[in-house]
Formats: sequence, structure tokens, C-alpha cells
Amino acid sequence: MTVALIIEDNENNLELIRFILEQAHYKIRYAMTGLEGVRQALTIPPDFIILDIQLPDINGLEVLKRIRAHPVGRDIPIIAMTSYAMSGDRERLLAAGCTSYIEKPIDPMLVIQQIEQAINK
Amino acid sequence: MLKSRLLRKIACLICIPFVMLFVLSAQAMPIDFYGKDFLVQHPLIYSILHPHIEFSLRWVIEYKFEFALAIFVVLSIILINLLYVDWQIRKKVTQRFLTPTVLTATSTERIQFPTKKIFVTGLLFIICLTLFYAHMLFTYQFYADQRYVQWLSAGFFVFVLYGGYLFGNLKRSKQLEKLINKLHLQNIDKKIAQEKLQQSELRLQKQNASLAHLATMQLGGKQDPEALFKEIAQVSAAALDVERVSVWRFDDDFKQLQCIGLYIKSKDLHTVSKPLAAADLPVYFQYLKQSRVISINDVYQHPATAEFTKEYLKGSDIGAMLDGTIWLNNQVIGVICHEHIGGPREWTLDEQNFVGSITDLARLTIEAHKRQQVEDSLSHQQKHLETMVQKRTASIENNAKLFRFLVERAPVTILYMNIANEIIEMNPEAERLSGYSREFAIGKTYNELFGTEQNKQQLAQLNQQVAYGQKIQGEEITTRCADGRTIDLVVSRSMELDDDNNPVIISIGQDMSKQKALEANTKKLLESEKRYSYVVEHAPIPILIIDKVGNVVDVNPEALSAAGYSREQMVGKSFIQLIVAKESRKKALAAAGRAMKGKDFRAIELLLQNAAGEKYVYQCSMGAVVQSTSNEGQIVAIALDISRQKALQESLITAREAAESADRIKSMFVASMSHELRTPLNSIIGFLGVVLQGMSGELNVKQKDQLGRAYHSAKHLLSLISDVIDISKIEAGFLEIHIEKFELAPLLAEVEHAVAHIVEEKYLEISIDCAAHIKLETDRKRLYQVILNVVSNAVKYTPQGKVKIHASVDKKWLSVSVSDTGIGINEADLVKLFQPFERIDSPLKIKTLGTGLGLYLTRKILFQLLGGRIEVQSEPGKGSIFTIKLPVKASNIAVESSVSILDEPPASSIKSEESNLSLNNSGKILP
Repeated sequence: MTVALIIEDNENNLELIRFILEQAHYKIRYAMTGLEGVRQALTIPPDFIILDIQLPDINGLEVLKRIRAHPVGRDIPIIAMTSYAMSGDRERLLAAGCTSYIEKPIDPMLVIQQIEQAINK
Repeated sequence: MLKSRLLRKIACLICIPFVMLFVLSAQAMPIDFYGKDFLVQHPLIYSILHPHIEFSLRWVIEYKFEFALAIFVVLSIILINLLYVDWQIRKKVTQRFLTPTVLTATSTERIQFPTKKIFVTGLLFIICLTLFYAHMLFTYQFYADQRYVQWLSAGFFVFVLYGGYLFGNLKRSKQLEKLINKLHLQNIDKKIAQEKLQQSELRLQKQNASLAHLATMQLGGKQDPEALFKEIAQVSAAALDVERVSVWRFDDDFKQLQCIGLYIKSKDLHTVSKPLAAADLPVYFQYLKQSRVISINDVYQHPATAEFTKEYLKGSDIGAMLDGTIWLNNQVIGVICHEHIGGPREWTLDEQNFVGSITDLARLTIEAHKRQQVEDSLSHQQKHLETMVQKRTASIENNAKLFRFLVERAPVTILYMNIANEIIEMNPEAERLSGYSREFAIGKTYNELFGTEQNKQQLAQLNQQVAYGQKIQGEEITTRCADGRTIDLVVSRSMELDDDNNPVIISIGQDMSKQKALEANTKKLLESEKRYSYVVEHAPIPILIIDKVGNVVDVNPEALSAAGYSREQMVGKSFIQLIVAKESRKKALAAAGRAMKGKDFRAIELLLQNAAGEKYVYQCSMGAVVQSTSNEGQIVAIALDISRQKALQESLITAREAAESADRIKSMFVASMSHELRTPLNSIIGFLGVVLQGMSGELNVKQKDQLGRAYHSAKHLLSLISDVIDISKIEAGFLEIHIEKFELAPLLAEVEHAVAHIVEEKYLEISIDCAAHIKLETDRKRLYQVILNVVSNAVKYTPQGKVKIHASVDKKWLSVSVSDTGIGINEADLVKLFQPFERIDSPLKIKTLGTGLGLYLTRKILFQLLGGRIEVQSEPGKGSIFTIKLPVKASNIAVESSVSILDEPPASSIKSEESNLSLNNSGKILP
């Protein structure tokens, strides 16, 4: 069974993505802060990570860098989710080692497809 | 003394072993000397005498050795002392006998007879001895060992006897010494007398020698008297052995003694002392006038010197004086003064005689000198006369030469005439000016040559005045030349007598025509200068004149009031140091340097400061003015205070910046607010989508319809917020563009796809006409946004008909035009079209959704990010055509099919091209 780690601080958004992924039969773990996310990702590596960029402690870019800096986290697919307003981040995220990039608001119909595409890259 | 005392002590120490040997020999004989057994055998006696005996015995027994030792030591000291003193006396006596003439300090020293020492030590010895014998007598010891005591006593007696012998010897030696001393003293007296005699002889010899020396010197007569006096002073100081010798001379009325020379022997120094006044020393002067030699053995006792100030005598420590007066023609003229320092001195007769001889010598010297002087002055006068005559002759010759030169070369006309006004001689200048040759002119009268009708009368008057002996000075006459011209001359004329007493008229004239012209010119120049100086003085701007090294030469009053210095403070000072603020000094220096080289400077800005240190910005112009005479440049600097203008400008700039930054802050606020708004929207849309898709259970038709409305409203809100964010970002100036390469056709297909569902709903036709292979390099997303906006507008406002998308490329522009068959736009509404939150009033307004930001944002993106523009043509009721234009260069469009492939390098950043919209009658909006 494929395990997903969701790093997201907004409860509603977390519930939404969790629901969508559970419908697609993924096993879910989640973290609500950036540091907790890094810890979880590096202790028991998930199959892929969904990462929000706006986080309360360290931002998504920093989380990404820290995971990628560790040998364990080097090859985990990481899908960043961010709003259209932050479009300037896109290049920076991809440069920092982000596997894929999904814009908010997410489309429930398309999101699974986008995720699977990213995992299989 | 010390040495001898030390020797004595060493001798004592050497004695000790001998004494010990003596004691030990005494001890060796009685075995039971200690008497212990004896006392034990006689207990009765022991008990009767117990306390005393025990003590005495024990004391004697225990300390017998030390006791005996002490006695011998004391004894030995006495003996050695006696021996030493005796030895000393003997030594001295022998010395006196051997060297009877030497009178030394040690020989006169009397040797102290050591009675006291001997007495004390002797007393000590007797006490010790008595004590010892008392003990011996009162103890059994005496009986027990008589032999020991006998030995001991015998030893002591030997000592005492020897001591007595020595003592007696000593006394004899003493007497002998006294006798010798007496003899010795007599001897010394005799010797002193001999020495005195010898000295006196020597002195006389010396005096004679010096006199002879001086006499030969004087006979030689070559030296001047001053040197001779010096020599006299020096020689007599040596001969008489005195410290100071001075030569004095009376002045003419015997009021003062002038010091001619003072010789100080110890320093070998010739100097001069202060003069002595007769009023201060009447007695001394009286003495001088009366006697030839004044011998003063003690200056403090003698009446002649008693009146000398104490400072004079004490200051030089003078004790005795020997003065010899110099007489000439039965008159005292001077004195030679010998001053002996350090106490009184008895002057011997020979010394006094010597002084007399010395004064005679001095007199001779003075006489000789006077004679010499007279001779010298006579010969000198003769020489002076000779040179005078020579000089006079030379000067006369020179004068004649000079005069000739003057006449020939002077730039004035000089004429000599006789009494009848006939010209005798004229100089070259007169020839040149008049045009007459000298040969021609001589013999002609003045009137004949130079007279005209006009000056006839004037000349006649002039002649008359001269004939009467008047001297004409500066008379202006207009004369005629050989060629008929007239010249203005200033003439001076007078009658003089020549060498042979004949009257000669000399006429000197100067050509005034050039001078007159010059005067007129100068006048003009003066007027011009006056005008300019008036301008400079009254100009309401500071003007400075600076020389080539940067010093201020002149300033106008306005400059003074602006700088706050007075004219004196500024002129001659460096203008850079004075008025240019530190910040601008380099610039000012460079400008001045270049101005000096002849380059004019206009309107450079300099920061100047006034006396109070306040700084102002001035606009300065500098230009060099080269003076023709000195060839030294000066700079004229004109400064205009522009600090107020500057301040105004700056305040305007800051105000604008403040306004702009306020605007930016506002936009940033909106952007971040919009983001916050979007976060909840994300979950709203997401969950609505999930529910609508039936992922959490089937919905009935009504639920689906209602949730669908909520979903669309949320989407609309989202797009509204997105637009607001975009506008804010563009206005805040931090929306970046991301350039990528792509083809246009797929982009248009995407646009069509995005509006497909509305097109289908409305049964519209949509067509794309795009040349294949158009490739672009620009921000794909923004272009997509722009085209989609225009296309979705077209779809929205077209109730039925067609929407056409047409893309084409020409040399300048890539055009994407979207035409529809919609409701069209009024001319009046065209203006509002690109304003934010403006929606065109139309029947469709209520039905269609819209933010009112779409076209505003579109235009902004096109203008500010992509460098393009948008044009619109519309006819109400028939439809509109929106054309999006992107510059080929900026967007780097390449059409593969076309021949002209533009391969310029891709522009890394695209400058936004904000331009005003202009509206023309046909309804076109042009940038």
C-alpha cells in the first residue's frame, strides 16, 4: 500500500486532500508543521510527500531543502501545493528539488491524476 | 695612623701564643694544683671557710687560665704601645738628621706622648694583679703550690722591669726630639732668607727683561699704541706677578678716566673696564695728580682706595694696588694700574721702580703715536685732494658725453638758434619730424621754416618773450613741416649763454599728435570700464575675480553680503579655502584650473559656504580674462544661488516618492489580504467539487443544482481575488515574468477548450485561424491569461453568432485579433472599457458574470509586462474586434515558414511601455 505524507497546516485543506487520497486508496500520514513534517519524512520515509508552502514555522521551501539534504529523503517524490499568487515560487521549488507542483485550488477530479503522474516520473 | 694601629693589634695577637706557652709551662709542674683532694682531706677548714673558699677556689680554678691570659694580654698591650711610641720618636729624629732642609708637614707634627694610655692600662694591670695575688694569698692555693706562684710572680716582675726600662727610654727620646726640632727650625729660617734674596734677584731680572722687550717693541714703532698698551699690560702683569693690569687715560678736562685696556692674567684676556669719574673718587684723583707711583699695600687701609666702592674691590677680590701715573708735558695724562688679588701685598722698591719705568715707556708710546697721527693726517689730506681732482675731471667728461647722447637720441626736437632766430643746430628727431635736413635748416630762421599764417602772431610773441629772458614752458604751437603738413608741438624755449657768453636760444618741442589720439582712446576705454564696473557693482548676483593661483582679486558688494566677509577679509585669500565648502573643493579646483586654460565654464553646481559656515548650492560660471600687459590670467566667477530651487526640487522628489511608496504599501497589503482570502476558498471549492462529483454519496438533482451554484460563486470569487492580486502586484512593481519558448497554436487551442462549455451552451461557433509554426518566447501563462480574457469576454457578450480568433505576424507585431458578432460597444463606453470596476451597461450586464477587472488587468499585463498593446474596434449591435499586439522584437517571435527569421538574442527583461491611450473618431484606441 502506498503511503503519503501530507504536510499542511490548514485543517480544512488537510481534510480535503486526505479525503481525496483516501478515496484513491492511499494510506495517509500527516504533519501540521514544517519541522514535524521533516522529522516524519526522515524517520519513516513515506512513498511520496504532499507539501504545502505556507507553513507556520519554517516554510515549504526550507522543508524541501532539509529533506533533500538528507540521504534518506533524497529520492522521495515531493509534490508541492501552493496558490496561484505565489507563482514566482514555482521555479525556486523545482530548482530546490521538488518533483511536481500543484496549484491551489485543487481540482478533485484532476488531483489524483497529477499525483500519480508525479510519482511515476 | 690607621696602618700603625692595625700593626699594633696584629703584634698583640702574635704575642698571645707566647703568653700561652708561658702559662702552660707554669701549669705543668703541680699535679694537684686544683686542690680538690686536699680540701676533701681537711673537711674542718673546708667547712669553716666554706662559702668564701668554695667560691674563691672555684673561681680561680675554673678561670685561672683566662685570668692569667687577661693579665698577660693587658701587659703585652702596654709594652707594645711603649715600644711603638719609642720607635716612632727614634725614626723621626733620624729623619731630621738625615734630611735637615726638608720642612714637611709630617716632620712638624708633634708626637703625642702616650702617658694617658699607659696610665689607664697600667692601673688596670695593677688592679688585676692585686686581685690575683689577694686570691692566691687567701686560698690554700698559695700554700698548695708556692712554686707556681713564684714562677708567676717572677714573670710579672720581668714584665714590670722591662716596662720601666722602656718608659725611661721613651722620656730620653722625647728630650732628644725637642732638641733636634729647635735646631731644625733655625735651619729653616736661614733657608727662607736665602730664598727671598734669590726671588728678589729673579724679579729684577724679569723686570729688566720686560723693560728691554717693551723698549725694543716701541723702537720698532710699527705697532699701533693700542697693541703696545696691551703688550705693556701683559708684560708688566707677568713681571710683577699681578692678576689685573689696566691702562687708563684722562679725558681732556680731567673729569674721567677712560680705560684703554685691561688685562686679566689668569684668563689671558684683554678687555676694557668701565670709566671712572673724578666726582666719585676725589681723593684717588688727587693722588694721581700728585705722585708718580702710588703704592697701596692694602686697599682697605689706604686713603686713596678707601673710597672705591666695595663692589669694585670685593667683586674682583683686589687686595693691593700699584699705580704708576703717565706724565706728558708736566701733566698727568693717564695711569697704569696693577691690581693684586687675594689679600694685601707689600710692594718692593724694585717693583715700584719698575712701574715708574713702565709709565715712562707708556708716555713715549703716546708721544710717538701723536706724532704719527699728525704725519698720517697730512699725507691723507694730500691723497684726498688728488682723487677729488681726478673725479671732477672724469665727471665733466662724462657729462659732456651724456649731453651729446641726450641731444642726439632724445625723442624730442631740439633746436639751437641765435638771437636772430636763425637755426644753428638741430637734432635728428627734429630732422625726422620736420622733414628738413640739417644742412638745409642751418642758417634759416625759425619762422621761415615752420611759420604759417595761423601761428605767425604766436611765434612773434614767443620770440619777444624769449628775447626778454622769459622761459617758455609747454606752449602749444601748430607748426608746418617740409611737406606742408601741420604738427601739434609742445614747445619749451629759453635763452641761455654759451661758453663764449653768446646768447643762444634753445627750443625743445614734443610731437603731441599721437598723444592726443591716445587720450581720446583712453577716454573711451574709461567710459566703457565705468559702465562695466557699474554692472558688476550693482549686479544682484555675486561676482568674484580670481587670479591664477586662486586668490581673490576683487569682489562685488553682492558677493560680500552673500559670503558675509568684508572686502579686506576676502581679497588676497584663496577663494577655495574661503567660500567653497569641503565637499565641492575638488570640483571647484578642477573647474578653475580648466577655466585658467581658457575654457569657459557655464552652470556648474558648487556647494559654497559663507562666513557663518552655512552652505548653499550655487550655480557658477567661470571664464578666464587674459590681460594683455602682464600676460597673467584672471578668472571671473559668477555665482547664482540655486539652493532654494534645489530644495524645492528635492522636496518635490521626496513628496513624489512618498506618494509612490504609500501606493506600493497599499498594493502589498491588498496582495497579502487576497492571499489570506484564498486559503479558505481552496477548501470550499475543493469540498464542493468532491461532493458534486458524488465522491461522498449520490446527490439528488436539486442538491446538485444548488451546490453547483455555490461552486460557481466560489470560483467567481476566486477569479475576482486573483485579478485583484495581479493588479496589486503589477502596481506594486513586483510581478515577475517567466520567459519560455512555446508555439502559439496549442495555446489558442487551450483557450478554446477553456471556453468550450459556454460556447456549447450558447450554440456559438468558434474558429481559430493561426498560421502554423508561430513560435514565441515570452511569458506563456500571462499571454494565455490575456487571450483567454478577451476570448471569454467575446463569448460572454455574444448571444448568437460567431467568435473568430485570428493570429498573424508582420515585421513589427504579432497580432491576435478576436472578433465577434456580439452586442458591440458604444463610443461613450469605449472610454470606460479599460477602467477598473467599470462594466458596460448592456442588456447582458445582469445575466453575465464579471468582475469588471478583466480588461483593466489585460491592458496592464500587456503594457507593463509583455510590452504589447490592445486595440479595439466596435460597432453597437454588430460586434467588436479586439486585437492583442505583441512586438516581434520584444517577444522574440519567429515564423518558421517566413523568410525573415529574427535571430536577435532574447531580451532578458522586458521593459513595460506605459503610454497614454488616445481615442480617435473611428473608435480605435491607440497607445
